[in-house]
Amino acid sequence: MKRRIFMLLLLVLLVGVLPAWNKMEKAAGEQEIVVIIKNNTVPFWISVADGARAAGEEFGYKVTIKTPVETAEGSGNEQQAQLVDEAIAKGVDSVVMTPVDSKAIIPVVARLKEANIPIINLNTRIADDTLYETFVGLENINQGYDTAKALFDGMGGKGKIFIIEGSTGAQTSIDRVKGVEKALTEYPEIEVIAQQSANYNRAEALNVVQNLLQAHPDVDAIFCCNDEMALGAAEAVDAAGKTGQIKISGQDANDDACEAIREGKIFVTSYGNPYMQGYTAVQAAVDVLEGKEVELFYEVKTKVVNIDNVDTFKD
Amino acid sequence: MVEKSINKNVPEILCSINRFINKVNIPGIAIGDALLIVFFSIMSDRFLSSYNLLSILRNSCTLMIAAVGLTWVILMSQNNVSVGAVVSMAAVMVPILNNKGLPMGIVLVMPMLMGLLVGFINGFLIAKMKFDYWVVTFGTMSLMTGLALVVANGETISTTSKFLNFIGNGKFAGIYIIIWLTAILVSIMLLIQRKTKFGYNIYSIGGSENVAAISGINVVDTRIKVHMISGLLAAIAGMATACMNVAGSPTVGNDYSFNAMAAVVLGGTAFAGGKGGIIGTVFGTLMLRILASGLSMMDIDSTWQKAIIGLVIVTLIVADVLNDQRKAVKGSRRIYRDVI
Repeated sequence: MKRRIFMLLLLVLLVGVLPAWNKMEKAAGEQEIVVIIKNNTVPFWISVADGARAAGEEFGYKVTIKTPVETAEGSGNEQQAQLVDEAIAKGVDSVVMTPVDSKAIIPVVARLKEANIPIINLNTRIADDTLYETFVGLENINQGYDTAKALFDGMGGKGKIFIIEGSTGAQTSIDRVKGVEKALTEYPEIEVIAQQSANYNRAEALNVVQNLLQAHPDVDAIFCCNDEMALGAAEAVDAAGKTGQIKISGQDANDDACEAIREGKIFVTSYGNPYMQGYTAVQAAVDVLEGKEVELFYEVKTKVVNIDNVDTFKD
Repeated sequence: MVEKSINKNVPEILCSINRFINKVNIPGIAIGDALLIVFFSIMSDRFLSSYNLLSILRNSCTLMIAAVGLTWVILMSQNNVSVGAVVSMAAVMVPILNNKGLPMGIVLVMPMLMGLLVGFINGFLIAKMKFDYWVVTFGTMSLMTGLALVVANGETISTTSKFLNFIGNGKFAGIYIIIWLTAILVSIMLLIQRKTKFGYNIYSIGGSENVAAISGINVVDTRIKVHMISGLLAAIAGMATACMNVAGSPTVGNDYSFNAMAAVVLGGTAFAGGKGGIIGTVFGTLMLRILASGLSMMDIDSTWQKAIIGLVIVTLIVADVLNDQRKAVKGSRRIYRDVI
């Protein structure tokens, strides 16, 4: 009764208000690339979206950024599935996909493939590599290698280190450790005396490093597979009164870590260049749509960040 | 007629539309769904395609199953916030059991038993031990959320099974299997609600527990059963997501509890109990998905979508409560209105 009437009124309201958002109808002949990313609230992904939009403008394509409302792995996946279905229904020309869940997204991406819409995989690999045209992202092995080299140079090329891994089984962590191992072959005087996981978590890293410091007080440096753990390690080192003596390296160059670099608590980290990730993904999609030869992997170069460039590395 | 006196300030045309709606007994929310579809079809030329409407239906299935199970709990003027956790647990159980090489029967039955067990614990503690339902279901929610993360080791577990993939992504007669399954489940629930004593008892308990008890209804027994059905359907919803993804994530159910509640309340089932039903929930779920899909097709930012959907939910709930209060004042609230 009244609710029904109320609903009618509400719809009238929606009809009145919403057209303001319905800008930019697809122009005739303009091709559309949908970029599905993990969220639009974290600075990293906002930069990715900016880069993608810039590339769209430069190459003359309509770029639409889509993000799930929920960002947790499971519910995010469900909403990304809906976004993909909408893209198919809309008949877009290409989809750039960053899965929140690289396994559960497979049946969804298979539907895109069925609809003959080329897929560019960005940042996080889809677990089935037959589904996408090309992958755009970092080479985590190189990122780990570059950071490790900077760390080892800072140690004067010799000494003892801990390696703090991310979540067990996480590909980023495995690859970054591989990068460290690669660097270790070039620095024979560096010795790994402990290697443990702290699940990419600041509090866990604090505990793990505190315990390790008890057992090995003579350590010279700590390599962490992300910044959060590096910050945890920095706290542990701080508590032991060894800030500056024990050098710590992170990955990602988040704001807290940059602050810690300025304070001298973290020695070096690495910047994943999200703007270029978004830009390169759209560029790859354009290459596919224009029938150019596409490489299997578009590597986005990372930057080592230390006290010298901590204020300027984003430029 | 009650409706006439209510609508005396409303234009005659709306009244006659209303009388027509009442005659054919379509819930108001269904009209809202239809209007939304019309609206989004005008706003986005690609919205009204068979592909999009089918994918809205398919994407509604898992939430619909969970929300239908929750409807009866809310009908008895209680709540169950452990729905999402059971969804997650069932979603990870399927690939884990399947990866162990167990026969498909066990893979499918074990999550359902888990759902029934959680439902029984909820029901027993609430109905028999008289604990508060918020506290109890919040407890089981934490328990199952944690356990799901533990058994899955915090990761999405993928599996390979032609059968599960067929259930989740296969088609029969041009429509996804999962939609058929949901339709069958909802039909069964609807039959129970409308044609059995058990169904009527739920309304009676929701209307007034004391009156129901005095008139000889076994309140404790009915409550436990309703909670078990809620757990079972949440588990089936979780299994359905596992089939659709051919993988299970321990966080897949994170937002199910709230979304299911939203769907139930949008569908006209009041938290006060005794009023509403499954049909409303079905259309409530569809409304959530239609809104999400339509807003996204109009290229509205996801953060705005969240706000708009929230606004719709809040206004409808407020409207519902105001409506109820007014009816209560007039003394014309009829418990069985939506049953028949």
